[in-house]
Amino acid sequence: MSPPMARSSPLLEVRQLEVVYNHVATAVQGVSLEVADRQIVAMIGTNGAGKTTTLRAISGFLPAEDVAITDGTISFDKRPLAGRLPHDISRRGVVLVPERSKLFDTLTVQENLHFNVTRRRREIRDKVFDYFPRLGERTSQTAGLLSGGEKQMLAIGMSLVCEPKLLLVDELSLGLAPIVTEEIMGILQNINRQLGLAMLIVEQNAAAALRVASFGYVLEGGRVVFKGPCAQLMEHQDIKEFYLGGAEGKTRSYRDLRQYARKRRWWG
Amino acid sequence: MELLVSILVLGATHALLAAGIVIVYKASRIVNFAHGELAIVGAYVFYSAGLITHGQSLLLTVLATAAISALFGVAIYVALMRRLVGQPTFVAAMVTIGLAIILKAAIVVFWQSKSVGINLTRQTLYSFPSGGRLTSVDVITIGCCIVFFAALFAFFRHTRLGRQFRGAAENPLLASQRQVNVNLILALAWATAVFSATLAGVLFGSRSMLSPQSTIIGLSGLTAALVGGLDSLRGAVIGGMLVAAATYLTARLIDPALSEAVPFAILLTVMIWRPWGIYGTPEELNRV
Ligand SMILES: Nc1ncnc2c1ncn2[C@@H]1O[C@H](COP(=O)(O)OP(=O)(O)OP(=O)(O)O)[C@@H](O)[C@H]1O
Ligand SMILES: [Mg+2]
Repeated sequence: MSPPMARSSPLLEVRQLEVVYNHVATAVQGVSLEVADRQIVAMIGTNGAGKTTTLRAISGFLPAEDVAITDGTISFDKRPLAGRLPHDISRRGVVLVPERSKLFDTLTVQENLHFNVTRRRREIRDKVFDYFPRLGERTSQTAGLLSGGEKQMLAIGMSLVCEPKLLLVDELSLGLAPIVTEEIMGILQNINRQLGLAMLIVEQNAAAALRVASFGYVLEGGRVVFKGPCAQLMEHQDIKEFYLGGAEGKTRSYRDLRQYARKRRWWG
Repeated sequence: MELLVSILVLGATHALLAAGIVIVYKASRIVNFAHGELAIVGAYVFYSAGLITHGQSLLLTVLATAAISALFGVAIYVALMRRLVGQPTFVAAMVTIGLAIILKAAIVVFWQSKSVGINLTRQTLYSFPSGGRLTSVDVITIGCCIVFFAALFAFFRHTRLGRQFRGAAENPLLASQRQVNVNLILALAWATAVFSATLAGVLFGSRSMLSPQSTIIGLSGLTAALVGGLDSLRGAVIGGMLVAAATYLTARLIDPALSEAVPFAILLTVMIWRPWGIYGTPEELNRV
Protein backbone atom coordinates (compact mmCIF):
# COMPACT_ATOMS: atom_id res chain seq x y z
CA MET A 1 0.00 0.00 0.00
CA SER A 2 1.39 3.38 -0.87
CA PRO A 3 0.24 6.93 -0.16
CA PRO A 4 -2.24 8.29 -2.66
CA MET A 5 0.10 10.91 -4.04
CA ALA A 6 3.07 8.69 -4.58
CA ARG A 7 3.45 9.44 -8.25
CA SER A 8 5.98 12.23 -7.64
CA SER A 9 8.63 11.56 -5.01
CA PRO A 10 7.35 12.43 -1.51
CA LEU A 11 8.26 15.58 0.41
CA LEU A 12 9.42 13.58 3.43
CA GLU A 13 10.68 10.06 3.14
CA VAL A 14 11.76 8.02 6.17
CA ARG A 15 13.29 4.63 5.48
CA GLN A 16 13.96 1.92 8.06
CA LEU A 17 14.60 4.44 10.83
CA GLU A 18 16.16 3.10 14.00
CA VAL A 19 16.69 5.29 17.06
CA VAL A 20 18.53 4.27 20.22
CA TYR A 21 18.54 6.11 23.58
CA ASN A 22 21.57 5.96 25.88
CA HIS A 23 23.27 3.41 23.58
CA VAL A 24 20.93 0.67 24.78
CA ALA A 25 17.22 1.47 24.56
CA THR A 26 15.90 1.04 21.03
CA ALA A 27 12.78 3.18 20.85
CA VAL A 28 12.17 3.04 17.09
CA GLN A 29 13.10 0.00 15.02
CA GLY A 30 12.73 0.14 11.29
CA VAL A 31 10.03 2.75 10.81
CA SER A 32 9.34 3.83 7.23
CA LEU A 33 6.90 6.53 6.31
CA GLU A 34 6.16 9.14 3.68
CA VAL A 35 4.49 12.52 3.55
CA ALA A 36 3.59 13.99 0.18
CA ASP A 37 3.43 17.68 -0.57
CA ARG A 38 0.22 19.36 0.69
CA GLN A 39 -0.80 16.16 2.50
CA ILE A 40 -1.82 15.61 6.13
CA VAL A 41 -0.54 12.31 7.47
CA ALA A 42 -1.50 10.92 10.88
CA MET A 43 0.64 8.73 13.09
CA ILE A 44 -1.17 7.05 15.97
CA GLY A 45 -0.13 4.63 18.67
CA THR A 46 -0.27 3.99 22.39
CA ASN A 47 2.09 5.31 25.09
CA GLY A 48 5.71 4.55 24.41
CA ALA A 49 5.10 3.42 20.83
CA GLY A 50 7.92 5.65 19.59
CA LYS A 51 5.88 8.45 18.01
CA THR A 52 7.67 11.30 19.76
CA THR A 53 11.02 9.65 19.12
CA THR A 54 10.26 9.41 15.40
CA LEU A 55 9.31 13.10 15.18
CA ARG A 56 12.31 14.12 17.24
CA ALA A 57 14.61 12.12 14.97
CA ILE A 58 13.18 13.86 11.91
CA SER A 59 13.51 17.31 13.51
CA GLY A 60 17.03 16.68 14.81
CA PHE A 61 18.80 16.03 18.11
CA LEU A 62 21.18 18.34 19.96
CA PRO A 63 24.73 17.00 20.47
CA ALA A 64 24.07 17.09 24.22
CA GLU A 65 21.26 14.54 23.96
CA ASP A 66 22.20 10.93 24.54
CA VAL A 67 20.28 9.52 21.60
CA ALA A 68 21.28 8.53 18.11
CA ILE A 69 19.88 7.48 14.76
CA THR A 70 21.59 4.12 14.35
CA ASP A 71 20.09 3.09 11.05
CA GLY A 72 17.93 4.21 8.17
CA THR A 73 17.57 7.38 6.19
CA ILE A 74 15.48 10.53 6.38
CA SER A 75 15.17 12.69 3.32
CA PHE A 76 13.30 15.91 2.81
CA ASP A 77 12.94 17.49 -0.60
CA LYS A 78 15.29 14.70 -1.79
CA ARG A 79 18.05 15.86 0.58
CA PRO A 80 19.25 13.81 3.56
CA LEU A 81 18.31 15.20 6.99
CA ALA A 82 19.68 12.63 9.41
CA GLY A 83 22.61 13.91 11.48
CA ARG A 84 21.86 17.58 10.93
CA LEU A 85 21.28 19.95 13.84
CA PRO A 86 17.75 21.10 14.73
CA HIS A 87 18.31 24.71 13.67
CA ASP A 88 19.55 23.55 10.29
CA ILE A 89 16.60 21.21 9.79
CA SER A 90 14.06 23.85 10.81
CA ARG A 91 15.69 26.35 8.46
CA ARG A 92 15.18 23.82 5.68
CA GLY A 93 11.46 23.91 6.41
CA VAL A 94 10.80 20.95 8.70
CA VAL A 95 9.36 22.51 11.85
CA LEU A 96 8.27 20.63 14.96
CA VAL A 97 5.57 21.58 17.46
CA PRO A 98 6.95 19.53 20.37
CA GLU A 99 4.93 17.45 22.79
CA ARG A 100 6.35 19.16 25.88
CA SER A 101 8.14 22.46 26.50
CA LYS A 102 6.89 23.96 23.28
CA LEU A 103 7.10 27.59 24.44
CA PHE A 104 9.60 29.89 26.09
CA ASP A 105 7.64 30.11 29.34
CA THR A 106 9.40 33.18 30.70
CA LEU A 107 8.88 35.20 27.53
CA THR A 108 5.62 36.95 26.71
CA VAL A 109 3.23 35.81 23.99
CA GLN A 110 4.49 38.63 21.80
CA GLU A 111 8.14 37.74 22.40
CA ASN A 112 7.50 34.08 21.65
CA LEU A 113 5.76 34.92 18.43
CA HIS A 114 8.44 37.43 17.51
CA PHE A 115 11.21 35.02 18.40
CA ASN A 116 12.46 35.03 14.85
CA VAL A 117 10.19 37.46 13.08
CA THR A 118 12.07 39.38 10.45
CA ARG A 119 10.52 42.26 8.54
CA ARG A 120 9.62 39.84 5.78
CA ARG A 121 7.82 37.54 8.20
CA ARG A 122 5.50 40.16 9.71
CA GLU A 123 2.76 39.15 7.30
CA ILE A 124 2.88 35.59 8.58
CA ARG A 125 2.63 36.85 12.13
CA ASP A 126 -0.49 38.79 11.20
CA LYS A 127 -1.90 35.63 9.68
CA VAL A 128 -1.24 33.78 12.94
CA PHE A 129 -3.41 36.31 14.74
CA ASP A 130 -6.11 35.71 12.11
CA TYR A 131 -6.02 31.97 12.69
CA PHE A 132 -5.83 32.33 16.48
CA PRO A 133 -7.57 35.58 17.45
CA ARG A 134 -7.35 34.63 21.12
CA LEU A 135 -3.57 35.15 21.03
CA GLY A 136 -4.09 38.73 19.93
CA GLU A 137 -5.87 39.49 23.20
CA ARG A 138 -2.96 38.22 25.29
CA THR A 139 0.14 39.57 23.63
CA SER A 140 1.79 40.89 26.80
CA GLN A 141 1.02 37.86 28.97
CA THR A 142 3.81 35.54 30.07
CA ALA A 143 3.56 32.40 27.95
CA GLY A 144 3.93 30.08 30.93
CA LEU A 145 0.65 31.39 32.33
CA LEU A 146 -1.48 30.67 29.26
CA SER A 147 -4.15 27.98 29.30
CA GLY A 148 -3.33 24.65 27.69
CA GLY A 149 -5.26 25.48 24.52
CA GLU A 150 -3.69 28.90 24.19
CA LYS A 151 -0.24 27.40 24.69
CA GLN A 152 -0.88 24.98 21.86
CA MET A 153 -2.12 27.79 19.62
CA LEU A 154 0.93 29.91 20.38
CA ALA A 155 3.22 26.95 19.74
CA ILE A 156 1.64 26.37 16.35
CA GLY A 157 1.80 30.10 15.63
CA MET A 158 5.51 30.20 16.50
CA SER A 159 6.12 27.30 14.17
CA LEU A 160 4.25 28.95 11.32
CA VAL A 161 6.47 32.02 11.67
CA CYS A 162 9.42 29.72 10.84
CA GLU A 163 7.98 29.39 7.31
CA PRO A 164 7.61 25.60 7.39
CA LYS A 165 7.21 23.42 4.33
CA LEU A 166 6.33 20.50 6.58
CA LEU A 167 4.83 20.86 10.05
CA LEU A 168 5.37 18.06 12.56
CA VAL A 169 2.79 18.19 15.36
CA ASP A 170 3.34 16.04 18.45
CA GLU A 171 0.25 15.13 20.42
CA LEU A 172 -1.58 18.40 20.24
CA SER A 173 -4.46 16.93 22.27
CA LEU A 174 -2.27 16.38 25.34
CA GLY A 175 -4.07 17.84 28.34
CA LEU A 176 -6.71 19.58 26.24
CA ALA A 177 -10.48 19.30 26.43
CA PRO A 178 -11.83 17.29 23.46
CA ILE A 179 -13.65 20.34 22.13
CA VAL A 180 -10.44 22.40 22.12
CA THR A 181 -8.58 19.57 20.39
CA GLU A 182 -11.32 19.54 17.80
CA GLU A 183 -11.10 23.30 17.32
CA ILE A 184 -7.33 23.33 16.85
CA MET A 185 -7.40 20.30 14.54
CA GLY A 186 -9.95 22.17 12.46
CA ILE A 187 -7.67 25.20 12.26
CA LEU A 188 -4.75 22.99 11.21
CA GLN A 189 -6.93 21.54 8.47
CA ASN A 190 -7.79 25.07 7.35
CA ILE A 191 -4.14 26.06 7.28
CA ASN A 192 -3.37 22.97 5.25
CA ARG A 193 -6.06 23.82 2.70
CA GLN A 194 -5.24 27.52 2.46
CA LEU A 195 -1.44 27.38 2.48
CA GLY A 196 -0.98 23.87 1.14
CA LEU A 197 1.25 23.17 4.13
CA ALA A 198 2.06 19.46 4.55
CA MET A 199 1.68 18.05 8.06
CA LEU A 200 2.62 14.94 10.00
CA ILE A 201 0.32 14.75 13.01
CA VAL A 202 1.09 12.43 15.91
CA GLU A 203 -1.83 11.57 18.18
CA GLN A 204 -3.05 9.25 20.88
CA ASN A 205 -6.49 10.62 20.12
CA ALA A 206 -6.75 8.51 16.99
CA ALA A 207 -10.25 9.62 16.05
CA ALA A 208 -9.29 13.30 15.99
CA ALA A 209 -6.17 12.69 13.90
CA LEU A 210 -7.70 10.26 11.39
CA ARG A 211 -10.54 12.70 10.75
CA VAL A 212 -8.29 15.46 9.40
CA ALA A 213 -5.59 13.31 7.79
CA SER A 214 -5.72 11.51 4.48
CA PHE A 215 -3.22 8.78 5.25
CA GLY A 216 -2.31 7.13 8.52
CA TYR A 217 0.31 4.98 10.21
CA VAL A 218 -0.15 2.97 13.40
CA LEU A 219 2.95 2.57 15.54
CA GLU A 220 3.51 -0.01 18.22
CA GLY A 221 6.66 -1.01 20.01
CA GLY A 222 8.71 1.16 17.68
CA ARG A 223 7.32 -0.46 14.52
CA VAL A 224 4.68 0.43 11.98
CA VAL A 225 1.95 -2.18 12.44
CA PHE A 226 -0.72 -0.75 10.13
CA LYS A 227 -0.81 1.85 7.43
CA GLY A 228 -3.35 3.00 4.89
CA PRO A 229 -5.72 5.74 3.80
CA CYS A 230 -7.54 7.09 6.85
CA ALA A 231 -10.98 6.08 5.61
CA GLN A 232 -9.73 2.51 5.38
CA LEU A 233 -8.01 2.61 8.78
CA MET A 234 -11.17 3.89 10.44
CA GLU A 235 -13.05 0.87 9.11
CA HIS A 236 -10.37 -1.59 10.15
CA GLN A 237 -11.70 -3.96 12.80
CA ASP A 238 -8.67 -3.94 15.09
CA ILE A 239 -8.08 -0.24 14.87
CA LYS A 240 -11.72 0.41 15.59
CA GLU A 241 -11.48 -1.78 18.61
CA PHE A 242 -8.15 -0.76 20.08
CA TYR A 243 -7.75 2.84 19.01
CA LEU A 244 -11.19 4.22 18.35
CA GLY A 245 -12.76 3.06 21.59
CA GLY A 246 -14.07 -0.39 20.65
CA ALA A 247 -16.89 -1.63 18.43
CA GLU A 248 -20.29 -1.34 20.05
CA GLY A 249 -21.47 -4.11 22.32
CA LYS A 250 -18.25 -6.13 22.08
CA THR A 251 -15.90 -6.41 25.02
CA ARG A 252 -12.23 -7.16 24.63
CA SER A 253 -11.13 -10.52 25.87
CA TYR A 254 -7.72 -11.99 26.36
CA ARG A 255 -8.33 -14.12 23.29
CA ASP A 256 -9.00 -11.02 21.19
CA LEU A 257 -5.83 -9.47 22.40
CA ARG A 258 -3.84 -12.53 21.46
CA GLN A 259 -5.40 -12.65 18.06
CA TYR A 260 -4.66 -9.00 17.68
CA ALA A 261 -1.05 -9.55 18.64
CA ARG A 262 -0.72 -12.25 16.01
CA LYS A 263 -2.13 -10.05 13.25
CA ARG A 264 0.08 -7.25 14.37
CA ARG A 265 3.14 -9.39 13.91
CA TRP A 266 2.02 -10.28 10.44
CA TRP A 267 1.60 -6.63 9.53
CA GLY A 268 4.84 -5.49 11.13
CA MET B 1 28.13 61.90 49.90
CA GLU B 2 31.76 61.03 49.63
CA LEU B 3 30.95 57.61 51.05
CA LEU B 4 28.19 57.16 48.51
CA VAL B 5 30.52 57.98 45.62
CA SER B 6 33.10 55.52 46.87
CA ILE B 7 30.54 52.77 47.20
CA LEU B 8 29.06 53.52 43.77
CA VAL B 9 32.47 53.38 42.14
CA LEU B 10 33.45 50.12 43.79
CA GLY B 11 29.95 48.75 43.24
CA ALA B 12 30.07 49.60 39.55
CA THR B 13 33.20 47.49 39.11
CA HIS B 14 31.67 44.60 41.05
CA ALA B 15 28.45 44.88 39.06
CA LEU B 16 30.33 44.74 35.76
CA LEU B 17 32.19 41.66 36.93
CA ALA B 18 28.99 40.05 38.16
CA ALA B 19 27.24 40.80 34.84
CA GLY B 20 29.81 38.76 32.93
CA ILE B 21 29.39 35.82 35.28
CA VAL B 22 25.60 36.08 35.06
CA ILE B 23 25.56 36.21 31.25
CA VAL B 24 27.60 33.03 30.92
CA TYR B 25 25.59 31.34 33.63
CA LYS B 26 22.28 32.28 32.04
CA ALA B 27 23.34 31.02 28.65
CA SER B 28 25.02 27.79 29.69
CA ARG B 29 24.56 27.14 33.45
CA ILE B 30 28.32 27.31 33.79
CA VAL B 31 29.80 29.18 36.74
CA ASN B 32 32.91 30.85 35.41
CA PHE B 33 35.65 30.79 38.04
CA ALA B 34 38.14 32.45 35.70
CA HIS B 35 36.33 35.76 35.58
CA GLY B 36 38.74 37.69 37.79
CA GLU B 37 41.68 36.36 35.78
CA LEU B 38 39.98 37.38 32.55
CA ALA B 39 39.45 40.86 33.97
CA ILE B 40 43.07 41.33 34.99
CA VAL B 41 44.49 39.84 31.79
CA GLY B 42 42.20 42.22 29.93
CA ALA B 43 43.56 45.11 31.92
CA TYR B 44 47.13 44.04 31.13
CA VAL B 45 46.22 43.82 27.46
CA PHE B 46 44.84 47.33 27.64
CA TYR B 47 48.05 48.47 29.31
CA SER B 48 50.18 46.88 26.58
CA ALA B 49 47.95 48.24 23.83
CA GLY B 50 48.46 51.66 25.40
CA LEU B 51 52.24 51.19 25.27
CA ILE B 52 52.10 50.16 21.62
CA THR B 53 50.10 53.24 20.68
CA HIS B 54 52.41 55.29 22.95
CA GLY B 55 49.38 56.60 24.74
CA GLN B 56 48.69 58.67 21.66
CA SER B 57 45.30 57.35 20.77
CA LEU B 58 43.06 56.34 23.64
CA LEU B 59 40.28 55.51 21.19
CA LEU B 60 42.48 53.08 19.28
CA THR B 61 43.58 51.43 22.52
CA VAL B 62 40.00 51.06 23.68
CA LEU B 63 38.79 49.64 20.36
CA ALA B 64 41.72 47.24 20.07
CA THR B 65 41.21 45.97 23.61
CA ALA B 66 37.48 45.59 23.09
CA ALA B 67 38.00 43.60 19.90
CA ILE B 68 40.71 41.41 21.43
CA SER B 69 38.62 40.66 24.51
CA ALA B 70 35.49 39.79 22.53
CA LEU B 71 37.49 37.54 20.20
CA PHE B 72 39.16 35.93 23.17
CA GLY B 73 35.71 35.18 24.57
CA VAL B 74 34.70 33.50 21.33
CA ALA B 75 37.98 31.56 21.34
CA ILE B 76 37.36 30.30 24.87
CA TYR B 77 33.95 29.06 23.82
CA VAL B 78 35.12 27.43 20.62
CA ALA B 79 38.28 25.89 22.01
CA LEU B 80 37.08 24.81 25.45
CA MET B 81 33.43 25.15 26.29
CA ARG B 82 31.84 23.87 23.09
CA ARG B 83 33.57 20.55 23.58
CA LEU B 84 31.92 20.13 26.97
CA VAL B 85 28.43 19.92 25.55
CA GLY B 86 26.54 17.14 27.25
CA GLN B 87 28.94 17.00 30.20
CA PRO B 88 27.71 17.86 33.69
CA THR B 89 28.12 21.56 34.39
CA PHE B 90 30.59 20.94 37.20
CA VAL B 91 33.02 19.58 34.61
CA ALA B 92 32.79 22.90 32.80
CA ALA B 93 33.28 24.73 36.10
CA MET B 94 36.46 22.70 36.67
CA VAL B 95 37.64 23.68 33.21
CA THR B 96 37.16 27.36 34.08
CA ILE B 97 39.30 26.82 37.18
CA GLY B 98 41.97 25.37 34.93
CA LEU B 99 41.59 28.36 32.64
CA ALA B 100 42.05 30.67 35.63
CA ILE B 101 45.36 29.03 36.49
CA ILE B 102 46.58 29.25 32.90
CA LEU B 103 45.63 32.92 32.68
CA LYS B 104 47.44 33.68 35.90
CA ALA B 105 50.50 31.94 34.51
CA ALA B 106 50.14 34.03 31.37
CA ILE B 107 50.39 37.20 33.42
CA VAL B 108 53.66 35.91 34.85
CA VAL B 109 55.01 34.89 31.44
CA PHE B 110 53.93 37.84 29.32
CA TRP B 111 54.05 40.66 31.83
CA GLN B 112 56.63 39.23 34.28
CA SER B 113 54.13 39.81 37.11
CA LYS B 114 54.94 43.48 36.75
CA SER B 115 52.94 45.75 38.94
CA VAL B 116 51.50 48.30 36.59
CA GLY B 117 48.90 51.02 36.72
CA ILE B 118 46.66 52.30 33.99
CA ASN B 119 46.74 56.05 33.54
CA LEU B 120 43.43 57.32 32.40
CA THR B 121 43.36 61.10 32.74
CA ARG B 122 42.87 61.54 36.42
CA GLN B 123 41.60 64.95 37.26
CA THR B 124 39.95 66.11 40.41
CA LEU B 125 36.51 67.30 39.48
CA TYR B 126 35.28 68.09 42.94
CA SER B 127 36.74 68.14 46.42
CA PHE B 128 34.48 67.15 49.24
CA PRO B 129 34.62 69.30 52.36
CA SER B 130 35.66 66.22 54.31
CA GLY B 131 38.78 65.86 52.16
CA GLY B 132 37.75 63.23 49.64
CA ARG B 133 37.80 63.88 45.92
CA LEU B 134 35.61 63.07 42.98
CA THR B 135 37.93 62.28 40.08
CA SER B 136 37.34 61.85 36.38
CA VAL B 137 38.11 58.15 36.80
CA ASP B 138 35.20 57.88 39.23
CA VAL B 139 32.88 59.46 36.72
CA ILE B 140 34.19 57.26 33.90
CA THR B 141 33.71 54.14 36.03
CA ILE B 142 30.14 54.93 36.97
CA GLY B 143 29.39 56.12 33.44
CA CYS B 144 30.75 52.95 31.83
CA CYS B 145 28.69 50.85 34.19
CA ILE B 146 25.49 52.75 33.42
CA VAL B 147 26.05 52.66 29.66
CA PHE B 148 26.95 48.97 29.71
CA PHE B 149 23.89 47.94 31.70
CA ALA B 150 21.55 50.19 29.75
CA ALA B 151 22.83 48.72 26.49
CA LEU B 152 22.52 45.22 27.85
CA PHE B 153 18.95 45.68 29.08
CA ALA B 154 17.94 47.31 25.79
CA PHE B 155 19.55 44.46 23.88
CA PHE B 156 17.69 41.79 25.83
CA ARG B 157 14.35 43.62 25.77
CA HIS B 158 14.16 45.11 22.35
CA THR B 159 16.20 43.19 19.82
CA ARG B 160 15.48 39.93 18.07
CA LEU B 161 18.90 38.56 18.96
CA GLY B 162 18.23 39.53 22.59
CA ARG B 163 14.96 37.59 22.57
CA GLN B 164 16.71 34.64 21.00
CA PHE B 165 19.39 34.84 23.68
CA ARG B 166 16.80 34.73 26.45
CA GLY B 167 14.93 31.94 24.71
CA ALA B 168 18.07 29.87 24.18
CA ALA B 169 19.00 30.43 27.84
CA GLU B 170 15.65 29.04 28.93
CA ASN B 171 15.32 26.19 26.46
CA PRO B 172 18.20 25.57 24.04
CA LEU B 173 16.47 22.69 22.28
CA LEU B 174 13.37 24.71 21.48
CA ALA B 175 15.49 27.66 20.36
CA SER B 176 17.31 25.32 18.02
CA GLN B 177 14.00 23.94 16.73
CA ARG B 178 13.02 27.55 16.07
CA GLN B 179 15.95 28.09 13.69
CA VAL B 180 18.39 29.64 16.17
CA ASN B 181 21.99 28.44 16.11
CA VAL B 182 22.62 27.98 19.81
CA ASN B 183 26.39 27.81 19.25
CA LEU B 184 26.36 31.40 18.03
CA ILE B 185 24.36 32.51 21.06
CA LEU B 186 26.84 30.86 23.41
CA ALA B 187 29.81 32.37 21.58
CA LEU B 188 28.13 35.74 21.89
CA ALA B 189 27.63 35.19 25.61
CA TRP B 190 31.33 34.47 26.11
CA ALA B 191 32.35 37.42 23.96
CA THR B 192 30.17 39.75 26.03
CA ALA B 193 31.38 38.23 29.28
CA VAL B 194 35.08 38.61 28.49
CA PHE B 195 34.47 42.11 27.14
CA SER B 196 32.72 43.18 30.34
CA ALA B 197 35.40 41.51 32.45
CA THR B 198 38.05 43.46 30.58
CA LEU B 199 36.14 46.68 31.07
CA ALA B 200 35.93 45.99 34.79
CA GLY B 201 39.62 45.11 34.88
CA VAL B 202 40.65 48.30 33.13
CA LEU B 203 38.52 50.41 35.46
CA PHE B 204 39.98 48.57 38.42
CA GLY B 205 43.51 49.06 37.08
CA SER B 206 42.98 52.77 36.68
CA ARG B 207 42.55 53.19 40.42
CA SER B 208 44.77 50.47 41.86
CA MET B 209 47.95 48.78 40.72
CA LEU B 210 47.59 45.58 38.67
CA SER B 211 49.41 42.43 39.72
CA PRO B 212 48.70 38.70 39.54
CA GLN B 213 47.12 39.06 43.00
CA SER B 214 44.52 41.45 41.61
CA THR B 215 42.70 38.48 40.12
CA ILE B 216 41.08 38.13 43.53
CA ILE B 217 38.49 40.67 42.35
CA GLY B 218 36.87 37.73 40.57
CA LEU B 219 35.66 36.57 43.96
CA SER B 220 34.00 39.90 44.65
CA GLY B 221 32.30 39.61 41.29
CA LEU B 222 31.21 36.05 41.95
CA THR B 223 29.89 37.05 45.36
CA ALA B 224 27.99 39.96 43.84
CA ALA B 225 26.50 37.62 41.24
CA LEU B 226 25.50 35.08 43.88
CA VAL B 227 24.02 37.72 46.18
CA GLY B 228 21.89 39.09 43.37
CA GLY B 229 21.05 35.71 41.88
CA LEU B 230 23.24 33.93 39.35
CA ASP B 231 20.67 34.21 36.60
CA SER B 232 19.63 37.81 37.12
CA LEU B 233 21.25 40.86 35.57
CA ARG B 234 19.28 43.14 37.83
CA GLY B 235 20.66 41.10 40.69
CA ALA B 236 24.20 41.72 39.41
CA VAL B 237 23.76 45.47 39.89
CA ILE B 238 22.17 45.19 43.32
CA GLY B 239 24.61 42.49 44.40
CA GLY B 240 27.59 44.56 43.22
CA MET B 241 26.42 47.56 45.21
CA LEU B 242 25.69 45.52 48.34
CA VAL B 243 29.06 43.81 48.33
CA ALA B 244 30.78 47.15 47.71
CA ALA B 245 28.88 48.81 50.53
CA ALA B 246 29.68 46.00 52.96
CA THR B 247 33.35 45.95 51.98
CA TYR B 248 33.72 49.69 52.16
CA LEU B 249 31.87 50.18 55.42
CA THR B 250 33.90 47.45 57.08
CA ALA B 251 37.11 49.12 55.97
CA ARG B 252 35.92 52.50 57.17
CA LEU B 253 34.23 51.62 60.41
CA ILE B 254 35.96 48.50 61.64
CA ASP B 255 39.31 47.62 60.17
CA PRO B 256 40.71 47.92 56.63
CA ALA B 257 42.46 44.58 57.05
CA LEU B 258 39.13 42.92 57.60
CA SER B 259 37.56 44.25 54.43
CA GLU B 260 39.39 41.69 52.29
CA ALA B 261 37.47 38.94 54.01
CA VAL B 262 34.08 40.58 53.67
CA PRO B 263 33.19 39.16 50.22
CA PHE B 264 33.93 35.67 51.49
CA ALA B 265 31.82 36.20 54.59
CA ILE B 266 28.93 37.43 52.46
CA LEU B 267 29.42 34.55 50.06
CA LEU B 268 29.10 32.01 52.86
CA THR B 269 26.13 33.78 54.40
CA VAL B 270 24.25 33.92 51.12
CA MET B 271 24.97 30.30 50.28
CA ILE B 272 23.45 29.25 53.57
CA TRP B 273 20.58 31.69 53.82
CA ARG B 274 19.36 32.12 50.27
CA PRO B 275 21.49 30.16 47.77
CA TRP B 276 19.56 31.42 44.76
CA GLY B 277 20.22 35.07 45.59
CA ILE B 278 17.91 38.04 45.77
CA TYR B 279 16.49 38.01 42.26
CA GLY B 280 17.43 34.49 41.22
CA THR B 281 14.97 31.69 40.67
CA PRO B 282 15.16 28.84 43.20
CA GLU B 283 14.56 26.11 40.58
CA GLU B 284 17.69 27.20 38.77
CA LEU B 285 19.79 25.71 41.51
CA ASN B 286 18.74 22.17 40.72
CA ARG B 287 20.74 22.46 37.57
CA VAL B 288 23.94 23.54 39.27
N1 LIG C 1 15.12 10.48 26.77
C1 LIG C 1 14.87 9.16 26.77
N2 LIG C 1 15.77 8.32 27.30
C2 LIG C 1 15.54 6.98 27.29
N3 LIG C 1 14.45 6.41 26.78
C3 LIG C 1 13.51 7.19 26.25
C4 LIG C 1 13.67 8.62 26.23
N4 LIG C 1 12.59 9.14 25.62
C5 LIG C 1 11.79 8.11 25.31
N5 LIG C 1 12.34 6.94 25.69
C6 LIG C 1 11.76 5.60 25.47
O1 LIG C 1 11.49 5.43 24.11
C7 LIG C 1 10.26 4.75 23.93
C8 LIG C 1 9.38 5.55 22.99
O2 LIG C 1 9.05 6.77 23.60
P1 LIG C 1 8.26 7.92 22.84
O3 LIG C 1 8.28 9.10 23.72
O4 LIG C 1 8.80 8.06 21.48
O5 LIG C 1 6.79 7.31 22.78
P2 LIG C 1 5.44 8.01 22.33
O6 LIG C 1 4.87 7.14 21.28
O7 LIG C 1 5.65 9.42 21.97
O8 LIG C 1 4.57 7.90 23.65
P3 LIG C 1 3.50 8.92 24.24
O9 LIG C 1 2.23 8.66 23.51
O10 LIG C 1 3.39 8.54 25.68
O11 LIG C 1 4.02 10.31 24.05
C9 LIG C 1 9.66 4.57 25.30
O12 LIG C 1 9.88 3.23 25.69
C10 LIG C 1 10.44 5.51 26.18
O13 LIG C 1 10.58 4.95 27.46
MG1 LIG D 1 4.96 11.17 22.67
